[in-house]
Amino acid sequence: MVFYSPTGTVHRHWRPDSDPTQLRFVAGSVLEPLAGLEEHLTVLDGLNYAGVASHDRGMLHMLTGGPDPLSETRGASLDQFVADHVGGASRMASLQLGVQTSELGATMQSRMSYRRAGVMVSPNDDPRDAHRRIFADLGEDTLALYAKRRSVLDLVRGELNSLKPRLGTKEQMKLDAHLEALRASEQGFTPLSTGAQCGFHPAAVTFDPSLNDNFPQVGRAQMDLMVAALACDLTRVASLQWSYASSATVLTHLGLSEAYHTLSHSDDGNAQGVADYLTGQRWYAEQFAYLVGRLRDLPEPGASGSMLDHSIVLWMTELGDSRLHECTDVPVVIAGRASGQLAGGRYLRFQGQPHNRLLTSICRAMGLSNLGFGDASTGTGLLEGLLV
Amino acid sequence: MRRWFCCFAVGLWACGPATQDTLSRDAGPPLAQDAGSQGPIAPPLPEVPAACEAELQRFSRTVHIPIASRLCIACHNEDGAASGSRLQLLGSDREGYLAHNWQALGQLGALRLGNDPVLLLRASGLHPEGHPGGALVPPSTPDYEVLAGFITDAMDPACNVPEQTTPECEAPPYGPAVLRRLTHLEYQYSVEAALQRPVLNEPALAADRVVDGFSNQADQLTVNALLADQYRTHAEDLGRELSTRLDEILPCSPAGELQDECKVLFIRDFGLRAFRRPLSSADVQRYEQLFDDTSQGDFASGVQWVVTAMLQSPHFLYRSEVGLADGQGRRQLDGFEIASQLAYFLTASPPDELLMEAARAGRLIDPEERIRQARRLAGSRRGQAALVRFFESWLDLGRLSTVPKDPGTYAGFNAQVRQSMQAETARFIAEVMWSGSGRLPELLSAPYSFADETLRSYYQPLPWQAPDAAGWSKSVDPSRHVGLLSQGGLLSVHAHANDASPIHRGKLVRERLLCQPLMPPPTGVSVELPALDPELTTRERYAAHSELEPCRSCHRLIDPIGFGFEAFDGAGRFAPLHAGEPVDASGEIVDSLDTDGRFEGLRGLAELLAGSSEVHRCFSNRLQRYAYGLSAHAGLACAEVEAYRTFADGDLQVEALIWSIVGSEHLTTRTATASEG
Repeated sequence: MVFYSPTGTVHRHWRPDSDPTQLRFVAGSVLEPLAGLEEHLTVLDGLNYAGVASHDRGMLHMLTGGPDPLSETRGASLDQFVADHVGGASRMASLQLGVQTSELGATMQSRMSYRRAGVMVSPNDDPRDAHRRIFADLGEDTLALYAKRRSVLDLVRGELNSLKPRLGTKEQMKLDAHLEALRASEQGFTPLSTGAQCGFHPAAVTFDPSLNDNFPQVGRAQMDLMVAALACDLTRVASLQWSYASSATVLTHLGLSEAYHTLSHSDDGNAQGVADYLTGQRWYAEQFAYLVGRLRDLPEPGASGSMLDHSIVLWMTELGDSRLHECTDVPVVIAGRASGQLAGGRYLRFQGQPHNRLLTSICRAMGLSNLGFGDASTGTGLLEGLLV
Repeated sequence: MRRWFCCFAVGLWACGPATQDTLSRDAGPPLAQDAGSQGPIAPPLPEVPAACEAELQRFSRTVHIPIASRLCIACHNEDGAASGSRLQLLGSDREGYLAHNWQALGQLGALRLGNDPVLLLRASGLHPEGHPGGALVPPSTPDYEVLAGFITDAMDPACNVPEQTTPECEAPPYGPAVLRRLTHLEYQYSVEAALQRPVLNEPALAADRVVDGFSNQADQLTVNALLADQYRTHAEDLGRELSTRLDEILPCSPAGELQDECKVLFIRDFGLRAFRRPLSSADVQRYEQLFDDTSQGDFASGVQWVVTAMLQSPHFLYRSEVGLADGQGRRQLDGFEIASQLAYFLTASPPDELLMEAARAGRLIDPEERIRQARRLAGSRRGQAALVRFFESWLDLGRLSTVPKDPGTYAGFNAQVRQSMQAETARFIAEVMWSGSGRLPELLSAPYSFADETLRSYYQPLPWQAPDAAGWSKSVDPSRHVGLLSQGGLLSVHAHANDASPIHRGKLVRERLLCQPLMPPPTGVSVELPALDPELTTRERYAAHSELEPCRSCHRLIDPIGFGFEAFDGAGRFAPLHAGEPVDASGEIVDSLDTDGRFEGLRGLAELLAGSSEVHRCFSNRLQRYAYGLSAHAGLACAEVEAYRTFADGDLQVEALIWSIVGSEHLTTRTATASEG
């Protein structure tokens, strides 16, 4: 699972106590709201998005490791690459949810998921629409319904294919992307057998998800949907994106009056600005703690332990130091033990290693065997010392 | 340590270090090195002959202003992030900058790696050491061609610069064949036209890519997994609903023996509206088959699934601008393809009955007929709304409904005010277009605007005239009202949540009115905004920012324009005094092609812009791109020259430009694909 919050951090206020074997959060720090969850957490410091800087480049590299179409992962993002390997039997190969990510439309700053180099995946910003899609066809005669849907799809596919010979390469690629999208849609023609029984069916929300003041409510609704979709085994891979890289969101419910991105540039000389930014940073940590706590409290179906014990929840952001637009020392927190592959309770520092190794290690923990992730020239192999 | 900071690029990105081997973040801004080097020991730069004055002037116009001053100098100057690199440029406020920069760029152009100029390799990111900065200038883009041409010139500055400044265009004035996926609004109107009734519940649809404010660019409009699923569920909802109201949708009665006949009639009838063209017999057969497969004797069910399928069909979701190859390197569009272009451009809707009739009769091949039809469509209610939407996209006004504002700073800025501001701009545009001169200069600088009851109280006392029947009052005041630039909506969107912003506003003018895209601040530079301080004016707070390096090299292009907005706050109100004294709203435009100059206040700025051929040309390009749904890289340079000429010759009437676009060859003709010769 991927959890994204925007703009990097201020390291001084983010770093845990320096003991690598005993994770402890500093009072008043960004990560303090995670106190009590330490045994489930691994905090990673000193990873770089190698060779890049700025909001949009950071965003592009964060989950792709560099959009190299000739690489082993072909510019796909971590969630999509993993979903292609573990998501086959679920109703949704992967689920992307967002919280007001699209004010600027789909841009490099507002998208973190890629099918492959250059092909963005949109998060669903509307919990009402997401709810409907996740729990679709409940109580329908799905056998007959799906047969009709497939007839329609076959016809549409035939039309798309018959248009292609008259078109140039660029337009053909457009139609190929459309055909690929239809395949993903078709994967949803899977009866909701478990969904009806697994006991999670969060109430549909009624508020306007695009209004700034509803930001926290939208986030909460999306997290609940995400947990339900996972608990009901409707998907194995999910992501939640809060806002977008240069976030114009004003966290008004915290009493703040400036855009999060503006606050993120507060210099050390601006005590109030830094304090306001930290208020927002800590709030995102609380949201992460909420999500992790929900997973901790749910039993893993068919296994011992909690869902969290058998998951990886990766908290990422597109920058390191928020003030300097750099992608060095990006702050990363992992929750979950991946069925025993992560020890938990540790604070690891990597001295400038490329985060491609983190992405590769997560693939390994998910049972994949790729040797690298993204641009191989920045570093292949695993992140030494992360997996048990 | 090798770093390559820089700056040849289009779009949004920042300079960045190539390697991560250094720099603790506490070390301050990093230094760059070796911009043009090819290895550990940089080879000496070749000599380049000095250029003559005429050549320098051309360099200024074609390379320096459009490319170097915006994209390179920010990092490659003596105080900039790339001050240690081999590409060192001087800002245009320095003596001898043109000759110096000609040399600096020319030397890297003369330096080769294999056969290729290092300047081009770096700019395009094809250099073995890469260019980690971001979106580059890829080969075959216009900027790349300009740089390549410059390198040839720099090798031989023979001063045989041709006198003629606007070379004749040789490329055909039409673009490629494309499929244009409907925008979300076009989709909604198209669904309504097919169903012949309004759709009450707007479906959630995944956001599209926005380029320069426009969400209708053909190469960005694709169908991804979420959108495909959203189209599907919406089509299923509509199909289900329609099947319960057969009497409304069927052109015939499906009773008894007439069933089969009625089935085909229905498919042809609904298909015509959904596909915006008559169905071929193969089309009919396909949908008959689907009807039979899904109805199982239940006519309503057949209707349901045919509707569901047609609303997901590529013939519905995409506008075809493909045509047929004529064997002479061109594709000729058919009448229905032309009709759809006209209708969606001018009304965001599918063609109406009259337009379809003209298409059927083959009349739309005639530019005069297209213009006649366009006049009719543009004057309709939907036509007027579509034109307003173009302005909203061009100036980024669409975010007005959601842009955050701090209620503590801007009391009274509520949802109603947002709505009224949006309506104010529409009302203003309508006035200029349909009652005023219809000229771009009036749009940019008119001394009047309108307010409804909400805004009259929000904007506070102004000499409001008596309201018209719709409740709008006019106010005329040349310092308070400055065309589009002083519209409440524009001022609110281009500002902070709790503050005005000379940067946002300067950037708006630079990028959207002068068509000079800027890049974000270089990395490694702290970019904190000046703190709020009630003692100081906005201008005073931002002064350091525009006067000190490393900010200055870029912000001199931005802030002095933004200061022209000094008398307007961050939420659309007029605030000409600060602590009882008039604010200083003077400013300056530098490094433009022909708009440079000092000005006093927003009116002074607007008058500079309104009189600038650079702005006229920028506007004409933007409207054309919006109409064609094609970007600058689609080989339309000659079509853009043509449209601009018509616009300028037509006294800068916006309508003259629209008729020129509607009458253009691009509407009927496209280049053939490579295989068609």
